[in-house]
Amino acid sequence: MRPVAYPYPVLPVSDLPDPEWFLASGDDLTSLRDGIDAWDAEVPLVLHAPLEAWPAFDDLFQASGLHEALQHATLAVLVETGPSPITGHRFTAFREPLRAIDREAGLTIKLDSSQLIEKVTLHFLITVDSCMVPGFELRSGSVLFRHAFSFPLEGSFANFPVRPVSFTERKWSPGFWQVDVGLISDLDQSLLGTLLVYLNSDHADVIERLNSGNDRALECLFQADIVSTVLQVILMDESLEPDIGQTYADGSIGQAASDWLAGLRDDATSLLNVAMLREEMVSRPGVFHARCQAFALMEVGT
Amino acid sequence: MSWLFPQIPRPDAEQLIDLFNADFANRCFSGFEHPQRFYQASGGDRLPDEELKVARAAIIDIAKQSGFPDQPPTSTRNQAYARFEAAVAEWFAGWAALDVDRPGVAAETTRRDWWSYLTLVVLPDVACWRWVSETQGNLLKHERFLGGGRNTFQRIHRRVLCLDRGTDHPDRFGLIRELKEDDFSAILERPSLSSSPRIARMIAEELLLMRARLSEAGWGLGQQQSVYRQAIKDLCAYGIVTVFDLLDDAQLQDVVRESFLQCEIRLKRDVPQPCNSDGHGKRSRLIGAFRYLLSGSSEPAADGSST
Repeated sequence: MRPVAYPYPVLPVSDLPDPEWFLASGDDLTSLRDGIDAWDAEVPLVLHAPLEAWPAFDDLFQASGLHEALQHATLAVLVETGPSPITGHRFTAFREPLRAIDREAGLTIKLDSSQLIEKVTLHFLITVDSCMVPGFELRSGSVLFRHAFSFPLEGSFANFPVRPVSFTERKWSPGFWQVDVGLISDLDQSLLGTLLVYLNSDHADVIERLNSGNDRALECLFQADIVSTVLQVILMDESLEPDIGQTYADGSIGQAASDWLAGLRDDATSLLNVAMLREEMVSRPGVFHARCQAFALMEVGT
Repeated sequence: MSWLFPQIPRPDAEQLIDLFNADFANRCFSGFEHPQRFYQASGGDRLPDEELKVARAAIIDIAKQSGFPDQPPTSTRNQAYARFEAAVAEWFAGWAALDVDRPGVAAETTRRDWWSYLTLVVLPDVACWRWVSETQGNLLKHERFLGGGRNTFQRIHRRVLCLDRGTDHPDRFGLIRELKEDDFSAILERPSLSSSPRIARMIAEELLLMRARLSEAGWGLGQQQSVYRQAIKDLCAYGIVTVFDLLDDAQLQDVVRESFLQCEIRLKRDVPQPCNSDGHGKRSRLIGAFRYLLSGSSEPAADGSST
């Protein structure tokens, strides 16, 4: 076996629409394109991919010259998850003979969330067992169709460093939380390393409601507070010069701020630039804060 | 039940490494608290500090058997570290907090910021001891202390996740004990293979069989290394068109074995057959001794200078 080109017939990608994955909750389906904000390690994840747009498997294999392979074909979903490929892991989440798949019903898989972390990639595969098709001997495991889809598991806020502390013991003002923004010397520095949100453990019920993912209003206020606090720090520091559309390092505070500013601007009835948003923040802080809430509401709601 | 492990953000972890590098005296344990310690906002209980105390005590005991806090002698240093890492791997496998025996991987245990915390806050002295021979000018390498594939303890944990033969096996940790440093890198640093523990184990088993065959025939470690490196490259290439995860054990074993055997055949065809006579062995050792005198030892001394 040498690493050489190994041509063999496969299913034509043009005939197979890319499967789209949804988070299933009862009859509700939510697209996974933006990740999952309310993920919890103790709650199983039910995912669904509709397949009704796919052609009948018999027709597809016939048209591709692979008719003999259909009875040997398998549909499988491999799950790859981890903070990075080199520290992550992979497992088979679904495996059925292709003929047993009901295209109208689609594909549903249930994942044990405790096996998932940070980023999930779903590899949707059609493979064959060893078989002959005209002119070729296909080896076991040969891939006829492959589609990969990745989504962030913990949403845009779940990874924030949070620290429950008793505000009473620390003699802090008894709010529900406090957003602590560390020293920002460069907008390319890590967002997660710069922020620390203290949750008031004297209000365990609030922490529970935030964690539950069911209290959209509270979540929205929480996120709005983070957005407005971070933007206040950044916009007030003239040396940082944030700008919408500028490229910053992945996961950096600049990247997050740029996205948030773009969201605030797009949310406004008239387009605002950074200078106008800064002016508004200083002269009409209530309006600016309400704008952050509207943005967070949109983020939480989607 | 999933534990939530204590973590420190990467920038704070980097600051700690800078502190260790600024002054040797900082390279010591100063308690489990850290101002930036945090836990994931998710379901599960926080790992109690009591568990961290247990881990620290156990790993220090293991390190002491390899000379900690003193450096092992240069001549036996690599073996001492290998012994230490194999013993830590066994201890990790038995530490209930890491939940190694459960089906699948407990994903929380793979968080990079947790391994940064364990290395820099719980066991800084042991981690510094382990890598002092690698340092140049006494500066610690970030990759050994920040969470990731080369972190002092996360790489050992990954060996357990990928190469543990399971509780029913009579020699459960044989692969972890027998494989050498380069072998681990060759397998575990290729995620397309090692992300599936079944595939990683199958390759590791075949690597050891190949080593036994070639050693028996008088081939040295260098030749063995070129065989497995090429075999693993071939498997990676073949893995692009074939999903190894979906092969059954017998099929997978055939594919892996074929790859190794073909590389062995090419080696035997392209490289002159080694001679096993005593005279040749003595000559090789003499040449080796000459090379050593001319170029110095392969590993720098503790102070970073060449001996």
